[in-house]
Amino acid sequence: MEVLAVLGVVIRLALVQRTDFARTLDQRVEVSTPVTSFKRMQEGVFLWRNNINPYEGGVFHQAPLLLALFHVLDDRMIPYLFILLDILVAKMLVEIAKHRALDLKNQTWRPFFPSKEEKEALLAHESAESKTVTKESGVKKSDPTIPTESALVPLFVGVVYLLNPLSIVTCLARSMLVFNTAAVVTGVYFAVKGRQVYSMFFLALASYVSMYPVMFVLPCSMLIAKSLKVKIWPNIIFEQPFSASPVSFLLFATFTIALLGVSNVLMGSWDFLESTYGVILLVPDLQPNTGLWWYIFIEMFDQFRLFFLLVFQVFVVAFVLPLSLKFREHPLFVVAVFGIIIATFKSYPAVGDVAAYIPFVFMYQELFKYMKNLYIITHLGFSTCILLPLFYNLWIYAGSGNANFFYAITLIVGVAQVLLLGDFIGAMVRREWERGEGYAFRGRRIEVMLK
Amino acid sequence: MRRLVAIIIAAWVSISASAAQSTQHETLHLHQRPSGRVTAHFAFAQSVAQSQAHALDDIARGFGIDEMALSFTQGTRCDSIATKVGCRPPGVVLWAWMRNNHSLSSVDTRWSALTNALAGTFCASLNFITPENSAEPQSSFTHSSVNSSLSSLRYASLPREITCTENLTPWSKLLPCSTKVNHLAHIKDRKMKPYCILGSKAGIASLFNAYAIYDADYHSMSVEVSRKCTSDTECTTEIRQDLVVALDPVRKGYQRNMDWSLQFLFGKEVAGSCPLNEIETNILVTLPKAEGFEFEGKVKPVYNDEKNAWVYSLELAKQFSMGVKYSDSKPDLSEKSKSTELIQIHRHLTGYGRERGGIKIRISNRDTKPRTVTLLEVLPWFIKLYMHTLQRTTYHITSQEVLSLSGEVVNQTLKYQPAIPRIRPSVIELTATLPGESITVFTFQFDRAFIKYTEHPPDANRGFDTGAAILTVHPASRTEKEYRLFSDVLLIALPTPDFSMPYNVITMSCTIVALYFGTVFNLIVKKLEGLDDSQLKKKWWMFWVKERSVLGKK
Repeated sequence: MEVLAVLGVVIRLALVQRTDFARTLDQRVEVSTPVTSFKRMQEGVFLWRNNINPYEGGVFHQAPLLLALFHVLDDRMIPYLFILLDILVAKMLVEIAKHRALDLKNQTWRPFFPSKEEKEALLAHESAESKTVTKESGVKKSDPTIPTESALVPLFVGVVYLLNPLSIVTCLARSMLVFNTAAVVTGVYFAVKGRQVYSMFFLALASYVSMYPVMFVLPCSMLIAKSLKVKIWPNIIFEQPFSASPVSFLLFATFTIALLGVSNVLMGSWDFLESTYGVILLVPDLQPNTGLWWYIFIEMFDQFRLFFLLVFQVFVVAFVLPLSLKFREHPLFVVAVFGIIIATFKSYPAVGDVAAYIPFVFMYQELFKYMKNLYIITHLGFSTCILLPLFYNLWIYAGSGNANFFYAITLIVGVAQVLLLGDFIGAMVRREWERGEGYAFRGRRIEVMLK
Repeated sequence: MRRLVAIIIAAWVSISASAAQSTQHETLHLHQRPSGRVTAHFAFAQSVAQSQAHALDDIARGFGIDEMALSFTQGTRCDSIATKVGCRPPGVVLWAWMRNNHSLSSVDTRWSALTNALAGTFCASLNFITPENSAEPQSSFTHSSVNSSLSSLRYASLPREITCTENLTPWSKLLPCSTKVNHLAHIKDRKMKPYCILGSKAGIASLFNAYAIYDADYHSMSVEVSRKCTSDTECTTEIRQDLVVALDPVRKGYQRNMDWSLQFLFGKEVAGSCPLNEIETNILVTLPKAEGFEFEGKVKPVYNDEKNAWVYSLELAKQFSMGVKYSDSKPDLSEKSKSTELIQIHRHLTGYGRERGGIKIRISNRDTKPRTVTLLEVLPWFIKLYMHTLQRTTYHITSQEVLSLSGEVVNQTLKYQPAIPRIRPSVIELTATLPGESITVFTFQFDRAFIKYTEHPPDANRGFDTGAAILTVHPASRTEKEYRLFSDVLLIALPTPDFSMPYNVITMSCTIVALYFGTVFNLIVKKLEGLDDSQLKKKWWMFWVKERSVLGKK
């Protein structure tokens, strides 16, 4: 496994020598978007060095602190910085996976005794004191209905990230998405470790870079609460002096304000807000990407544009609270689900977003056997990886296809990710049900209905 | 230059003589090249004093204009030797110096008002000049007579604007001798030719035959207005109108020879000189050969060494026609259109596909001295420029050896205004010194923006025209004058969406959003429940499904 991890790094180091390769990747719409492109960053740095406000024009849409960083950095160092960040991400993922493996080991299953008498007794018992039974703990290792899980190998999760071609191309293209992924993963890592201040700082940094990671604040504060063994939210005010979420929100807000303040001091004006977050929110740059937004807003009737912008943005964040409440026992799972939602429905998604959530999905490998469409999803994933660049070339370069070709494939990417999302949540729901309430249906091919 | 001085002197004389009179001047210069092509340059000048009325004077006064130039051009086969006013890029080019403090409104408001007023005057779509394609150049178009601290400059071009008779008619109405001859007849001469009375123009303007002019390889129609005030109340507006038409008698005639006449080229004759006072109507003819030809027509021209041309002076109300017949009328087609201009600019696109691209600008300097030039590029916002990719290579004109720049030659300043989508264009002003006998190539890259389907023109796959780059050649010495060169117009094709798709896209994309919402909502809200036997009863159509053992109700 270590060999594979090293291989991932070696591939990056080998390919980084080919600068033309990096440049080509940076020009691919699937890999770099208007808000993450390295070429646009170079343009921003050039404008800034020439005393032209980079946020004035319509090319540069990235955060001022990143601009300052790339202004300072030596050009030769930049590709290695991205590789370093990727290694860091993999390392953090391994740490998170270690925590997750421990969590999985400690998971309790409601005991189930397959003999008929016992079952009847249990049912009688259940009807007598209906809800207290579910609280019953203590795993019987001999219980044959409890599925034997293959243990989660933490390093494997890191390897999934490092060897994923999607993360390799994102890293080589020097997409700013790597900063976003690194900040989110670091935030989750510190949340898992219960380091509230660090966690919120990195999440604030991630949101500062690309806005959408603000969704992770709630699950991360739940992770912090879980790890510190405190309540997520105070029941009655002042009853318990420390509860994770309000403090987290406060810290997050403070850090965000601080980061924006520093940016303002750096740039000397608030112009950057419109050119960074304004672009993410209002989508004025309609360059194609793997998401759903670009074509709908190219084709949108002008009078409905604002309405659909609102609808699309609301759908991204609509399930933040419901999902966090539903899976309050599994904040890390919520993080994974939010990863999928963001990668599917954010305004400028790229393949790097997919590469960022896949390791989190792999942390829940015990769910795979509950997923019905995994085969289809995997195949859709592979085929779209081939068809996206192919159809883009047909449209833009060969001229033998039109925009609909590429659009159709982005639709399939959307379908695949929505299927994955549904399957992933569905599997979790099913497993949780079988662990507790639905113990009687464990391990059987049985019809289960949502009611 | 000399002519300009003459006009100014004439204007001055006329003002001092009688302020109520305007001075006019019209010249037709027919310049034939060895290839047989005849460039006809109609030049009209007039000076409108304070008390007189003229549509352009009204505009200049109303919008606080110091100087203004407008040109309508079509065709690219312009002969820079034969054209004294220079070659202009296709479409419409307009620039104006406008006074900053004006009682009415700001410069930008007046600029849009000016474009609308000119649109009405010339019956052209100048109202498409908006802030989205207007620029404020800093170091191009500088002019000694305008105080740049008191006035602001606005520049815009519409490269796709097509010029035709509907523009020529209002343009020729602004000429000094535009009034119909029959109207003037009672003042000057009651014995006009009948066809004059029917409404054609007098003077050289009577040659304006739309069929001939718009059949030309190149035609450019321009107006230059400049307003000078000696005191607060005493202002004169000088108006220069030029029409350059490149005609080809070799192409036009059946004999494929160089012989031509006014009747042959324009299908018309000159209806005498302009019947107004102070008018000097001249026809100048420059021929490629010094001998071996003879002039047709009643009047014979006089050779003027100074002007290097044969000169006809027109008389009032006397039909005039002329022609040239060569003894050897075979055109010398081997003669390449070798330009004698010292500095030349050429621009083209690089790259392929509809996503990325680059622009390459090649400026050659044949002069032995280094020259300082300013390159002005105004590019629409949907061309997303990457100025960090700007590169310069300078090499020797004959040896093609790359020159390493040093000393004063190396100085190069870039003024760059990034475009704001849908609001303003990108403006690049690059001032550079070109070494003597060198070719300098500038390259930079751009991305073609993906724009909304409503922002595409009706024939979207043709692409967008982008205005010509303007090269301002700064004077090397005090005696020289600054002049401008225009590059080629670029046609940039943007990636197009499928224009028939709006409903389909909204439907399909929203289906995915609905799928997402429905799935997740169901999973969150609903609870799982195992089905009992009764619910799992085999349906009649499930004959292939095996009976399954089902646990009882939970």
